[in-house]
Amino acid sequence: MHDPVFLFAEKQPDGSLVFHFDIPPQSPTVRGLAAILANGLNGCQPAQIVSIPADFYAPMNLQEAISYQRLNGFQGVLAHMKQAAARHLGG
Amino acid sequence: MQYAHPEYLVDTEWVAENLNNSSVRIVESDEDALLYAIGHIPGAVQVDWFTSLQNSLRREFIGREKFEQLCDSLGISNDTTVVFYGDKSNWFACYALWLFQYYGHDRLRLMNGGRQKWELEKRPLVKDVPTYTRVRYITKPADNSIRAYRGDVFMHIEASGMLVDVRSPKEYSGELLHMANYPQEGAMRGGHIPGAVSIPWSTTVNEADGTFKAPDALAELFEQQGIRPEGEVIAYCRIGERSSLTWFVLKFLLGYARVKNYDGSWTEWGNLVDAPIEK
Repeated sequence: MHDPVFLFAEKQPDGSLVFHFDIPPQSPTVRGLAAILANGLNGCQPAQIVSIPADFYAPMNLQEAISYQRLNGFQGVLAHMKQAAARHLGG
Repeated sequence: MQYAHPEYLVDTEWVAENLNNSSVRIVESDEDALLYAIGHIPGAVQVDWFTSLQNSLRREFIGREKFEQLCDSLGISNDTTVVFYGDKSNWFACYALWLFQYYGHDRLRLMNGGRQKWELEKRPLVKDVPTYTRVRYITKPADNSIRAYRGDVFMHIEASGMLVDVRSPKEYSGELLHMANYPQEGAMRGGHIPGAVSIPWSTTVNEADGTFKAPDALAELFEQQGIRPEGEVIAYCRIGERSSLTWFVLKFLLGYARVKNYDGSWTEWGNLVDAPIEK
């Protein structure tokens, strides 16, 4: 079984979000993908985060390096982040 | 009762004693390919199921020429004893081993317990990527006696042949299209191939250390469900990696003579127009 990804979005005084992840060390690829996303999105406003397109990975050519299944996992992590960001929209 | 072909299985101790044996090549094959980079058995090379073993154009494995180039680059000659290990109780280690068997390699071994057992025993893991002198590998013609294509499965159903679905119970029942906690993609329909019995791969291994269960326990597990040594057995899962593990169990640990892995598995069957499905 895949180990689940836990994430928490911490709201900053300026309204931006900082993401914290808990992903087991046995899943380094998922940790790496989460780190890429956190690196890019930490400090962004919730409205910016929810507007990231689901196929944002395409220009990086990630689809040639990792399997279809993993790409879906990547999109799944982003979807979780967008859901967390959506809860902070307008507040 | 003993395993039928115990020579195919080596333990972690044997691997530890053969790290510098030049006739042995240790190969890591994981579900999570980055595990190799963060630490592997000293001297081990990596074969990634996705980037190393797949044809990049069509849904097929690399051909004989690419397979030979892969072996050449890893310093694997026709006489090398190749020992596979990996994460997830050796799913992809078995998948890679199965493909080496498909291309006719003679000396194949699986490290019982895989990464899990090696790590539990706190044995060394290193980051150095070794390089070996290039060799000249010659494959044999592909051995289709261990591989089932969709056409074989249709004929097998007609003949009421033995089929083993090794996915999790909820994938078998059609409730899920993939294991729990994985993205639910890859098939238009859920369920299983008509006549297949459910023997999840996980029931063949010990959860504590990832090693295989004892021979008598394995024999009972399959025979209770009507999967017998006489006749042909086809095993499948979602993409053919978990069923490679069951193929290994049936072929080498229990000694069934005719076992095929249907590598198209559910991502093919569950998408085939008009293919029969049971729920």
